[in-house]
Amino acid sequence: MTVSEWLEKNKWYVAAYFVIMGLVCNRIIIDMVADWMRDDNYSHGFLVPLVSGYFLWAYRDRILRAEVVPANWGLLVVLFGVAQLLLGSLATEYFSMRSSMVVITVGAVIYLLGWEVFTTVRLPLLYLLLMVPIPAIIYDSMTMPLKLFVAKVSVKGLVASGYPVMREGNIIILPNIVLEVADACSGLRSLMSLIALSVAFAFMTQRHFWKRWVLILSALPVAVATNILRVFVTGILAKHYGRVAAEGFFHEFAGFMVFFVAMIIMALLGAALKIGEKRNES
Amino acid sequence: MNRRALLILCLLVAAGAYIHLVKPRPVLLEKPFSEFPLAVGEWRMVREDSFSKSVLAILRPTDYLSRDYEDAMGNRVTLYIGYHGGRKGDGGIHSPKNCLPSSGWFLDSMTAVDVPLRDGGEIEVVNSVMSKGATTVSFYYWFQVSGRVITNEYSLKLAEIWNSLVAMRKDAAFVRLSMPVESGSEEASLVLKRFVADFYPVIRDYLPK
Repeated sequence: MTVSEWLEKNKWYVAAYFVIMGLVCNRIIIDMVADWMRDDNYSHGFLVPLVSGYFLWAYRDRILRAEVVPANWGLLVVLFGVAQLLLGSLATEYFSMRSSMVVITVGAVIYLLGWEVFTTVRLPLLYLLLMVPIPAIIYDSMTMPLKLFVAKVSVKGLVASGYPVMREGNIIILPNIVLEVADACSGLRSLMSLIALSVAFAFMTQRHFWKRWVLILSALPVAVATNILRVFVTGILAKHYGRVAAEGFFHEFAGFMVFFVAMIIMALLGAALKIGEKRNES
Repeated sequence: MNRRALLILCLLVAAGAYIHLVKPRPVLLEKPFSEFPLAVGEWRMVREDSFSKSVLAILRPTDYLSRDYEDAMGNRVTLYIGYHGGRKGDGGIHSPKNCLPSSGWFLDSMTAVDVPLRDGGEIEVVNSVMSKGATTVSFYYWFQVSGRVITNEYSLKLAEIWNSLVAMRKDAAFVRLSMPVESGSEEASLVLKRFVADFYPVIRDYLPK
């Protein structure tokens, strides 16, 4: 039996699955969407289900033609996901609650449709994990050292360009203004969004396994480098124009520009990875 | 009929029923923090703070206390206790590991400190030294679940799970003292340790066991 035949037979079960999942997790989903709206680190959450839907659509032929061979291992994955859901809600631990929806669905696919089908829908399914905000305690332990590094390198750059600057931790002290590379303005808040986008971009444009990973992994250095540039430029502007250069409109605008520049660099990198490919093929 | 699909749907329904119907009961403080002693040992309260609406909307504690106490030598320590009893709409504990850095504090060091108590016992608390601009502050903090002192965010989560599974309770407290480190961290540490030793029995009696 292929997936399309199976779907025809079991369409009511599939509908019931989504309805019940929606009812069981309604609070969890509402909370998560509220987080996407409130937290700039995760505003890409709205895009993730859309991109996942796109992948599903793009792979639809392969998925529908895949052979259904139910695998009992899937039940274990479902049970693991359910345990995650229960323990997470007992401890109000959002990450495990939210990701359990994906884990349970992965398990259901393996249990009902089998491994072959799972491999064809692996990408759209697992991509959904990127919509879940990672626990603050892990996020902070990741961004803290990056923030320090950004402050350190930008100050080195400013000193090298002849600006009298001092640094104390993540605080940059110019003669007329003190800049703080804080969480909110480190620009690293776009890191999660950039990773989510680069994963989508990698799978859409690159066919080779290693090239995809090169593109995904390059999101981190690109985010850090563009942020160093941002802090550096803000420092120069702040020296000449004072507070306005680091606050309000310019601050927001710089944040947007950093993300924009980062995306352009990613696009160029993606194109560069493709160049060699075409040459090889022709 | 697809037995496998039915099994999965049943599992989902059961999990949903458990989440929505079996709720750990909230635990309230026996006395509100407004009745917390104004003087403990040689410490006298010199200031009491209440948080703004926006801060409370994020923290969502069941009850909280934020006070400055001063001793005879003029050492001033800020005490914050956030009690999260698990009522509907109450928030969970925010670890200072996340909260302070994202409001501009920069972490200088974080160490575990053993504080000897008056009754001969000892508790381990976290000493986290943070700076914001020119001020450097030493924060001593710990979490308390069912009378147990916990210093690690992951153990806190485990204790909360255990508490709601076994005791059907969802209450936890967060205790934090802070003091600017001006004359060196050694001196501040001595003051803070004395403060913990003086206040711990009072705090322990105040929070639900």
